[in-house]
Amino acid sequence: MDLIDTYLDDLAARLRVGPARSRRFLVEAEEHLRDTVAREVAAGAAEPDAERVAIERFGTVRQVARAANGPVLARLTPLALGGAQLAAVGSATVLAGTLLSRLVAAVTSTTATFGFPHDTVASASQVAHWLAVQPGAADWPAAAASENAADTLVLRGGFALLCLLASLGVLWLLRRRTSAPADGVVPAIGMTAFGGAAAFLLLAGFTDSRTPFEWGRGLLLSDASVALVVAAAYAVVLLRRVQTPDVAPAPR
Amino acid sequence: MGRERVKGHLDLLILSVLRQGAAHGYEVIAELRRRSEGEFDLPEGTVYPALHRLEREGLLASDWATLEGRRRRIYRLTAPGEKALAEQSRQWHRFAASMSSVLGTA
Repeated sequence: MDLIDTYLDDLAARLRVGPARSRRFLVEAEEHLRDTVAREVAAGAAEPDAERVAIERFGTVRQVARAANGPVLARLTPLALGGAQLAAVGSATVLAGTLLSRLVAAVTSTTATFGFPHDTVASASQVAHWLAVQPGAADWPAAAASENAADTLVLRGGFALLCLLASLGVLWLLRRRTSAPADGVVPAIGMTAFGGAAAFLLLAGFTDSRTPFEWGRGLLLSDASVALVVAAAYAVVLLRRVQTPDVAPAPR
Repeated sequence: MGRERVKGHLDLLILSVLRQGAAHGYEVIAELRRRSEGEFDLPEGTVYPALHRLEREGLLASDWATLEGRRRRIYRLTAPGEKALAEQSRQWHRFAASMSSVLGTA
């Protein structure tokens, strides 16, 4: 191992541009350095001196790695783009789940979709509140279900819509800086997060449980269905990424 | 000339060198040094990231080739690269003329 090899090993350890770009950069760097060494040796320099000159002209590992990696902001942008994509899909999923639960309620009933689990015990103040805000309800479970339905549509649906618009705005801004999120990260996170959420909601829905975030069997199963579709879509994208790498290897 | 100042115009300098014909990285750097009579003395390794970035932007294209027994990445100007070179040259000449006018050396 000579000075050039050591230099290239140090450089390889500092590159943050992905395997394909790193490999190509290192191949070109080695060709360049060996070229300089050959010319210096031809001009009468001793091999170790020629290697030192070549490295000195090429730049310190720190200088070259910084130039190759680009500005920190540019490296963070693909990750931010991935985060914004996930936020947009998450918001759209919550919005779709909200609308689907309304559809389920129209086909079945508001109590079946948005009602508390059967074994729920409500306090007197809760019962009084629900009956006050839903005066047309026959009893407190019906009032609680109607209130849950209204809150789901207005508060949850409205918040999801606002988040979706904000995420799309951020995506639009970031798209002007970069064209692609970090390779494979978004589908992997998306599949895991939405798959996990779907499993959790399915379990809660089938056991008619109350979660910290929402309740109502129809609502839970509606959200689980949409999350499952999104997780499956991310799984397909991830499988395609794995089967078809983005960058073709350099010819030999 | 300050390295930072040269780095700010590196794209234009590279495009200008490649207007004369396709070349590999070593040749580009040697030609930059020759034309500037040693004034543009950047760390050579910092020119390759600029070449790669210009290629990603579609202003350059490149292919592997074997020259004198060595495998080389040969860069050439693309049609958008020629257009960018013309535009950046025009902007530079206008800026240089304005600077000269202000400094009283026109």
